[in-house]
Amino acid sequence: MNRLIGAIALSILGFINPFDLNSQYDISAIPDTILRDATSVVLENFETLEVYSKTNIIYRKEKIILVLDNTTDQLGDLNTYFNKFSKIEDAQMVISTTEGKVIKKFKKNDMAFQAVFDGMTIANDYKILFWRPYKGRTPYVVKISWTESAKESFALKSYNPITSENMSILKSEYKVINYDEGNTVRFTASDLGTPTYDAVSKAYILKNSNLTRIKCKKISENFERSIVRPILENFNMDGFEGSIATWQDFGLWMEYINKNRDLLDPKSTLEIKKQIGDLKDKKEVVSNLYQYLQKNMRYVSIQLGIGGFQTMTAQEVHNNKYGDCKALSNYMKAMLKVADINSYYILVQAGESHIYNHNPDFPFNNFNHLILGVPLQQDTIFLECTVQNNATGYLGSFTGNRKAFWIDGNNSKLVKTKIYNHTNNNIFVKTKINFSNHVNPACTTDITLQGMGIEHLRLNQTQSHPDDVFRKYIQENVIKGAKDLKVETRNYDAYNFSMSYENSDYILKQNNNNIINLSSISIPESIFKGFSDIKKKLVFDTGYTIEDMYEIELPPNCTIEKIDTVQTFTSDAIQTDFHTEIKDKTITVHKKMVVIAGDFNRKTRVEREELAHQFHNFIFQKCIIACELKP
Amino acid sequence: MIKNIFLLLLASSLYGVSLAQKYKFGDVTPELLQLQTCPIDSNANAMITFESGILHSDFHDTRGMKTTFTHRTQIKLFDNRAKVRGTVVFFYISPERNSIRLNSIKGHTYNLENGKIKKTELSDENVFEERFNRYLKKVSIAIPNVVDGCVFEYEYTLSYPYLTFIPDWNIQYDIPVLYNEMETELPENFVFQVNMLGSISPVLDEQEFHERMVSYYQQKKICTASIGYNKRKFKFENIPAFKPEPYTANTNDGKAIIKVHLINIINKFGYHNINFASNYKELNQELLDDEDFGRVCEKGSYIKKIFEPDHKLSIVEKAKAIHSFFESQVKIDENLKRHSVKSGNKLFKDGSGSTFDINLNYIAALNEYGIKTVPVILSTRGNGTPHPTYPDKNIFNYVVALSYIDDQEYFSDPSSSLPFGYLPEKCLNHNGWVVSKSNARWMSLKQNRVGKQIVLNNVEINDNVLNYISTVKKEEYLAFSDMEELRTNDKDDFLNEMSSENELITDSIAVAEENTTNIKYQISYSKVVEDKDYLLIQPFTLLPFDGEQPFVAEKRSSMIDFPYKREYKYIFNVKVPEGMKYQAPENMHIVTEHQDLIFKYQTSFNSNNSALTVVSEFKILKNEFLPDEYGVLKDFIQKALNELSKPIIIKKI
Repeated sequence: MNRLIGAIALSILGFINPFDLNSQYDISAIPDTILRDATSVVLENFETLEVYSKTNIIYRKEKIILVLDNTTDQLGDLNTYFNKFSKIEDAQMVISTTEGKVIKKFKKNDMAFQAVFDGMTIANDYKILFWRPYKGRTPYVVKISWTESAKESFALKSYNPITSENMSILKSEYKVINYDEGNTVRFTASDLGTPTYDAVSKAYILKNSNLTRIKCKKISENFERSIVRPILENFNMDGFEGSIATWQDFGLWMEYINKNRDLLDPKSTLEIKKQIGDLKDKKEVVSNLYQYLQKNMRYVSIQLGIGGFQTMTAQEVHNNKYGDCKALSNYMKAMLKVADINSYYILVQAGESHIYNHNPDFPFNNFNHLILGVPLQQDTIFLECTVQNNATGYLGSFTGNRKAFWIDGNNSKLVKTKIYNHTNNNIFVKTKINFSNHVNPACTTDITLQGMGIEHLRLNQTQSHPDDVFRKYIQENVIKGAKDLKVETRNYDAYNFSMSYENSDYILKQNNNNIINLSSISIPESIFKGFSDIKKKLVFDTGYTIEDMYEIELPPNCTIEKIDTVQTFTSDAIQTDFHTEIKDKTITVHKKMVVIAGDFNRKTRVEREELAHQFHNFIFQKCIIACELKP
Repeated sequence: MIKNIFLLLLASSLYGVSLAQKYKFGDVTPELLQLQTCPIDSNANAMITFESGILHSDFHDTRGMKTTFTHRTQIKLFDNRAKVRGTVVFFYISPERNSIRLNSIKGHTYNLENGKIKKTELSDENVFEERFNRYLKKVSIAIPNVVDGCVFEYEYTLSYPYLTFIPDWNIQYDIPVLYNEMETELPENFVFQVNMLGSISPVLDEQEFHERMVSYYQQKKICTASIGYNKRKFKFENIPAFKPEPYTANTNDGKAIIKVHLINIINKFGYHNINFASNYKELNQELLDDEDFGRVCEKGSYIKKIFEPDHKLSIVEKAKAIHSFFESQVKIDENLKRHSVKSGNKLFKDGSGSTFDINLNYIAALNEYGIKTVPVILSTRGNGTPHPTYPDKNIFNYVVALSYIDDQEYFSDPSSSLPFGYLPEKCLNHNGWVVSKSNARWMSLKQNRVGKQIVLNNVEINDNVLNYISTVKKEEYLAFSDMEELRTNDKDDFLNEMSSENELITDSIAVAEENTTNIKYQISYSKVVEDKDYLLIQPFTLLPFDGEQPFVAEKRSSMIDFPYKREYKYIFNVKVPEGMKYQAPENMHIVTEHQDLIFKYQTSFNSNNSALTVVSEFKILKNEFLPDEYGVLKDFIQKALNELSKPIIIKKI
């Protein structure tokens, strides 16, 4: 009965006046399922977004959190971002005991703010208001409220009630009221649900209740799906009106705000023409100008106001020799224009852990980067303009293999960026081991990389290393423990490297045996990562073809103690082929593995584990050479 | 009265041109632009050709003291990857509503075009200044026209209406420096102590005294007087790049830097005499007399109203009970103040406080119960190493308790989650200063600190499957780090990661037992073998340093610092099937000269039950190794890891 009364009291106090300082909170009234393993419980959370017009938006948040254990998580904190288009009108925080006795009160001026600094962007508009004032004896209750007004409507405040994987939520409500007639508001899909229109209150409402800690944790595992993002189809950004009702509308807006920003003055145009010289082949021109860009410009991130979407002019980049992703892409576009080659901006979500899969039927700006697309007769060249070492057209793991938004006015559309898979991501390693001096076997290793394989062991980032620095890099990161290592070949056009050395950590001496680990250096970390939680899942982000070959020459006093001859297996995720040949005291080991990118969670745990066993046996093959000890 | 004093801000002024100085600020030559490599480091992709800091303070008749600090830097780039250096970001202290000003940011980029020098001026559009928070401003400069081979330079001046502190002056950077100078010119009544850290010596260190007439404002009147000025100038040349190395207590230990501390303001020209501690004896007394530090340790009467340990307990047990009471009742907040702002009553009323609030009141509580306890101030790992002779109060960012019980000394820190007698790993940074009336001294914080691990692998050969039952016990510091991970991170993720072994599949892992100083895990692994007649069995799991050599560089220039000693023991048991024989690595016993590195590998076979047992021990029994000892340590670890990695071969007879 007490529990019931407590629950009702909570409900009434919460909904009628959640900030009644006399509130009492009866923890025993909270269902056990909500309390179990939770370090905090959101007793009530109310978020309201009122759209009065494209330049007048009010967001309110009122939240009551019961903090049960503040040992590790930052709980009951206030964190909110704002920028030059938004203002925190007021903010307050009241901390009280569960009996309702006020411990501390804070207002906006007591709280801290800080400019957002990601270490890369040298100037932006974003600031964060935050306050984490209390870490006292638990339990206690934190009541937080603030109001925020915004003058722009391109990025509305999203609903994100799960702020810790150890929390649970008793009750949360998100309400969006759109007073801007004729302007549509819609929402991204979320595991929290989708706000539905309530004709009585004329509002979109989403209610969440009784989200246990386990449920909250599960939802929070996919960050994008743990948030509801509202989208106002017709928006205003820093005075620039636009629409994102369709991808085409959004493309038109992007073109509009960047119109004529790709112009260069006659002197600069002449310089570019001089750079192009007599080149006629479009592919060669693209490559030439891309290299010019890499050599002369540098990446500097500046995101101020509309500048977060509008590029610096090409002339500014030409004069300063720097720019952000938009500016450098725009400059490249301007140079290509000088050569009468059309190119197009492409918005993309960059990073190895991109997770949002853009939907052709749901226009939504969830991009953080811009590249350039150059359609040629046979092919389209994608240009990542912020990197100095990429070969022309190389996108790699940063922006390859994903949907992106090609901006071309009414023809704007989602496209797939360059595809990298097991057919073009290659890692070829050939190691020769000569035991003529069996105390310190002489070895050579030859590595050839293709496609995304060039990122293996970060060898693509060693391009500008001086030889001595490169040699140390190989010794410390590639062939560990190699003695007297010499780099014989270092070619970044073919991505071919070869080195010679005496012995290495992968050859272990045991009695009169030499145990050679036939795993050397060929397996990218992402493949191991695919097996890291094999009990629960099997996912390979990237496909590869890996060939690892060993040629082991034996002197007369050495014999083969142990080596497998043939071992193959084939599955939809991995195919391997292992075989050895022995001829004239020379052992040749061929290892080939094809890893297919994909989610293989449809397999049962037993199947996944069996695959893991086979993979391990393949990877960790050993060859044992027995050599008679010299008298 | 103190508030009426204009504390004049630091003055480090650096200028002056040494005869050996080849490159000058504002005067870039074609020769410098054509230079292809750094003359002192052919691998460097850039070098600082000139850097200077000039700090100068003076009196203004109506505004009191004014201090200006001018910083000039000139950089030469050698290749494309150094272009990022063209983006310069710095912060400066500027509390809201004060009048610290950043003036005159200027800069130029020099390029050689068709044999002629092209000079590009830094403009307003290249400079971004913003308020970072209530206390700091951030300045970003995007130097224009930065291309391969260019030289760029920039300068700015900060002006302060008072003197609060003198920022550290960096002599060494991650790229070589050809020339670096620092100069300060300060009124004689501001006495500074200069400490030079690192191994770089100046080519010039000169001091000069001069007097000049100044007007100053005192008691609403303008006065005139002759004031003496101390001018000091340092010059450094050909400074190699500083490269941080792994396993150091503080990343920047060894980096050349100048620290300047105000130690005395002499009673003159309206300024009152103020002394700051210039040696540890003085600092000790200052802390003992400090109402928010030493005096707090004397006010322990509050504890008897809220907690009383069982009188039957021994003294050590009483201390532990008080420690537990604090640990359970008060939590650490984010207050970074380096003194206590809370009384014992307030601390327990709030249920939280800073490390200083908690530990100073805890020391008071122990003393109140007759357990003699004193504070020990220290700098946490990563925060820097305190100078052994010249105190910099600012570097001491933590305080712990040292209790004297039955002729033994016990450290404790109830603001952490560690039991009585232990300090958090972050505190294990060289020495701490014992603040005491009678026995003030430096004391090692790492003495007798150890982390242990015992792994017992019982392996069964079941047809073509090897089944491992692994029991892992971690003790003290190796256990504490796990406990912290389990407490603060996702338990499943941690266990999953911890048990991952290259050649084995983890079938299950669970925490079997946990108490204050140790933790035990039960893990099962399996491996399917291809050839049942020739088995290669990995005997040991959870190898030291995750089985990876932690020292990969050929040479070492800084001391290797382990916060605690490490002891690992591995036991492997397997029954050799009938008709098969085993082959194991040879027995081995490595002990270094001073017995600080020990490795043992011992195999035994019981023919009665065909049981093969392999036992191995790996011990690092010293916390600090000199650069000269690097090779020995590296080879020892490699040898041990190789042996521990070797398989046991069981093959058909």
